[in-house]
Amino acid sequence: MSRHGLQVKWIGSVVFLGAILMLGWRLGGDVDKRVILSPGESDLAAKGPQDPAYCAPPAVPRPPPPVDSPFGVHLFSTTPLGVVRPVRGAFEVLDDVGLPGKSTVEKEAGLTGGNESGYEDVQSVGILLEEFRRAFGAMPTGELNDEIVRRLQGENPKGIAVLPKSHAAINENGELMDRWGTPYRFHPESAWVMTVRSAGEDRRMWTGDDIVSEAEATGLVQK
Amino acid sequence: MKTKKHQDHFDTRRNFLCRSACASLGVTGVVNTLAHLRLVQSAVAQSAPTDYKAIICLFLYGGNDANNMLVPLNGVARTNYDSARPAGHPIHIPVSGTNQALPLTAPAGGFGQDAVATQFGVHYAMSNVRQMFNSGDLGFVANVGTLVEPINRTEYVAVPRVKPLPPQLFSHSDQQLQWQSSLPDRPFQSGWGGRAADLLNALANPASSVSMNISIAGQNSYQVGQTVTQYSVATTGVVGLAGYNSGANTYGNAANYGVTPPSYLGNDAGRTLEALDKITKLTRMQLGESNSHYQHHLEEGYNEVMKRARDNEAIVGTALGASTTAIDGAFTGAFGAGVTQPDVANQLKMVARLIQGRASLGNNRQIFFVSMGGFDTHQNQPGDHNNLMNQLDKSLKGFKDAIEAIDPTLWDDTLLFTNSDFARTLQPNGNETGSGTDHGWGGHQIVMGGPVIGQRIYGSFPDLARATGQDVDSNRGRWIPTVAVDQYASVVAKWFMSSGSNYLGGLTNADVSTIFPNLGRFQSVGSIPSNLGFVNFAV
Repeated sequence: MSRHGLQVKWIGSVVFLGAILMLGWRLGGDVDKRVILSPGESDLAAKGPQDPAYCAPPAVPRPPPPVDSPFGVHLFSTTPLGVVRPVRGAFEVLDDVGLPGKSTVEKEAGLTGGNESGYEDVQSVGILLEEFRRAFGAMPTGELNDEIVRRLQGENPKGIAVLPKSHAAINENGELMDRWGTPYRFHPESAWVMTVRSAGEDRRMWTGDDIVSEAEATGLVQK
Repeated sequence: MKTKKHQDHFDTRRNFLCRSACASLGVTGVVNTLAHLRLVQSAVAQSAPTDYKAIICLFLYGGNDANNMLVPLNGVARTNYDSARPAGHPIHIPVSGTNQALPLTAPAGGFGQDAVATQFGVHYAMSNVRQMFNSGDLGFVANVGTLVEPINRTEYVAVPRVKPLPPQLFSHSDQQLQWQSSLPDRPFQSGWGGRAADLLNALANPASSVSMNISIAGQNSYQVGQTVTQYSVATTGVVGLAGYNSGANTYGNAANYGVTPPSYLGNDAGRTLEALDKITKLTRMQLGESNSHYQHHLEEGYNEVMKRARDNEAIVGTALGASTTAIDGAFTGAFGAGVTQPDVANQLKMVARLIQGRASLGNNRQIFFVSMGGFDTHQNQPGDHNNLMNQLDKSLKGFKDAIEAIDPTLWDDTLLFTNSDFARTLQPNGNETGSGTDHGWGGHQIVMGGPVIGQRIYGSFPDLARATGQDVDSNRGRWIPTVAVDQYASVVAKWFMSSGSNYLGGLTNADVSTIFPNLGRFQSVGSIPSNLGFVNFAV
């Protein structure tokens, strides 16, 4: 190769290397030293990443009509098509619980369900919640009795239902009542644990005869 | 002259394409490396900050009834408060009379919440909080809570609901986790304190001797990070490794690690530890390795963990070696002589001691976590919440006085902020004396410290109307938050990652997004909304 050719080759190499350095410098960008409080800055206001797998609703929500199912008319459902999916066998659990307002004769005749005590009733409600958790993946969202009942009846993103829309143990306010006619109290500890409390025979919460469901993991939650 | 082989190697089109592809990859790597080198250079070029800053997260576990911590005294908010908690009800806090709310002095221009109330008071057990509020050392941020996106009542009750909600609302552990991670819409991986430490540690703490994240309340989610490990300290001091004999010097053996043979206790823990140490030493000797290397990675890992634990024990032990007279005196002054102080006070006392010994820890930026439990007041709220507010009030006062007793200028380097699972229903759950309140959502939080622009109520105070306004789909008074946890926490984080009004060298708004990936859904990442500017960066 001639001397001139060598010079061109070296110059070309230098130019090429310089171009790489310039490109790197350009891609590096300016270090942002702006004052935090300066107004009008930042183009980063764009929405952050959103993963629809978690808690996000369906991308294109469809209007759910009132759903008439064998388990009652659901005014609405949060599932895209308004479908309610009863968990097989779960509804029968409620047949065991003692019903409010039944006379002693009826109770002795076994017309108030198979359970013999309020304790067993509370455990039955606990089983219902557990059935829901297994099907849905988490305990129902909420704390108030009527909203928990709505979730158990199918008002949840998957339309999972473990409760019928109407039942003798559900009062006109949509609350699930114990055998003495007092609405149960639900206490959400975590996504996996929810305790159930019955006011007991005196119908007053937070007294000595209250009946509380067993929840092994309760102690793990700081309160 | 080129050989045939040489010619083929360079001149075929296939080889040309192959080499071009390789070259392009090489160029990409070079450019990428250069870009990173520039960032590294810019970071290194900036010297570590010379100022010290500490943030303290005080978590109120169980869900604090913020509706009775900060109370409206007039306006529509008061009317609605009286409607839900009527006069005579044990949970009612009156404007005047027995157990009345302690009125706050409004700053010039008022509290800025005129649409709902112009006068506010604090719980009757919070006289110190009132004093610190009025003196400008403490402020409130109203109606803060977990959010995936901004949402209002109309959107909340819409059928079907389009806006996403934080999963498992009203559930203790889920909401605690979401407060501490600030990422309610994704599985937990780290807390925002942990992410902040990961980002800042190398930059701000080049001479660090111990973890940037210290918890006095045990393991927590807030300080979980990828690289910075949280270090737990008990209220009584360092939790030493069981089995080593500390002798006369509390942290003697830890400090002498690697210099003198450790001494072991004569109990089972000591004998077990001694046996394990000898086994690892035996394998090392058999393999002819030097003293500083173990043949097996597990042994090496074990050795490193043990060494780090003992190093930390020694370093933190040294930090705690200074006199505690001034700190103890501050807390005794707040609680009174002879009064048993609650656990949260002892935790904050330990934080003050660690701040006092900050030179030994070697950190210019330090994150502390403390907590207080018992706020799940479903029953007996009047008495229980009164005790909690009393303990919180005096603990905060003791902490402020302790920091100022160490060094008055240190108060300007300290920022304490509260978190809680949620607030509680405005409407009580019964009318008996022992009644309480149930799980809510948005609640009011306390911010305190020298950099806090106190005597203000930030955010947007709800009108406390039920079944309308900010209430969710019940009539119990559970407020949809108007300030996201991300927004609230990001103000603290921005102060923490700054020196004066500028970010520490190399940090940008993109780093704020790294700590709070969802912040951009609520506000411009680079700015602070006018109703959330509770920090004075110039202090």
